[in-house]
Amino acid sequence: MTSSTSTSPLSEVRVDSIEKLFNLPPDSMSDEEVFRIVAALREDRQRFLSQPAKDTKPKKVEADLSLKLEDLGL
Amino acid sequence: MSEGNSSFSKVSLNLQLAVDSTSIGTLMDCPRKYQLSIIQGYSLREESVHLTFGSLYHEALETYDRAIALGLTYDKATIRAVRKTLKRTWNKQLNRPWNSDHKEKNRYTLIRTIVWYLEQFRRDTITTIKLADGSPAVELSFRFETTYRSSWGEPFILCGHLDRLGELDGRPWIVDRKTTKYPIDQEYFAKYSPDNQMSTYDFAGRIVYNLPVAGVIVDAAQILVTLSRFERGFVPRTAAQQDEWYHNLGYWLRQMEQYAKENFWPMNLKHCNMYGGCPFRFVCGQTPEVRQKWLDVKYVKRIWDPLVVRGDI
Repeated sequence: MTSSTSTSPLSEVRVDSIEKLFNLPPDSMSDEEVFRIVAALREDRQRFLSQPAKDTKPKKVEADLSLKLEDLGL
Repeated sequence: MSEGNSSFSKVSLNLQLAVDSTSIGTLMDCPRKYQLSIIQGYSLREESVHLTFGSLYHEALETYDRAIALGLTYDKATIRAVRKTLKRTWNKQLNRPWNSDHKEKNRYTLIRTIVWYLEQFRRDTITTIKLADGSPAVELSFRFETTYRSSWGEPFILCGHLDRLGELDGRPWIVDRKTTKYPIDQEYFAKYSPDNQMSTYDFAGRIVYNLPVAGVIVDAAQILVTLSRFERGFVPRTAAQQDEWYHNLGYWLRQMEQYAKENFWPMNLKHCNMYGGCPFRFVCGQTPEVRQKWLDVKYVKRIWDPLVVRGDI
């Protein structure tokens, strides 16, 4: 999980550790608290995407399948 | 044996009349596996985490799709989906989060996968089709009579659930979401052609919604401990392929009735070790007189009734 700052359309949100948010009863959570989780996970994803290429596979599948679609006239 | 399961005939014991892709697919795998899992309702205790995870994942994305169709912004729709999942994975009695005891499929990886999926397809080129009543075509349960009948004249019904009907480049597609722990590569998508589930969905889209469905778009998520990956694959079907699939279906329904009449469900011994091993391999490997005891000990009962709205993952 993450600890950093994120900007959202809802508000300026400080992304604290989300571990404690995960352990809050969800009925009592505000939209902003839920969004902190979302923002932190988005940052995790960005960090993953910025890792070396071995973790991000090229999209061979789409290219190959598009050929298949063309063959069928779709 | 099939008591309490509304998908079975009231006339012919053990004959399932309302079938979905799971039922037929299991029968195709192995008639004995079908008898144990679909007719008798046994499943391994640890299988439940995959069912729970898959159901919650689908629920969250359905919530998101509906929110977007209602005009909510991307962020607000995401919050709605995540909030719903947080609630659904909260044990109110114990006042603590759901603990799956599974390193890849747990509350954290579930919510991470939802958020990452929505980010991946944030500017989705697929738009959700709206039904005649204006509601978004998401999480659709379908059922319709086939032209096939049992020996007693009862119609066989095909039923199931579609995740989403979407439009891409002016053509309607079924959108199906999958989760897997395996790499999503060309080989992964190749397994869907031919595939009974995909053909069932494609067929249902054409019949029930009377749309010229181009096929199924599979949004696949690979879920690992530290990350979730996504790929989108296209699984087209031609009219001739559909005719062939429907003809096949008729054969399997007749075969199913034959097994039911004889009340004998043979083992397909070539299937036992496929896909990591059949969940009933252990039981079938025992001498027949002790199998029931092992079923009672190692398995739980879970009725698989395709007529109950929403069931598969």
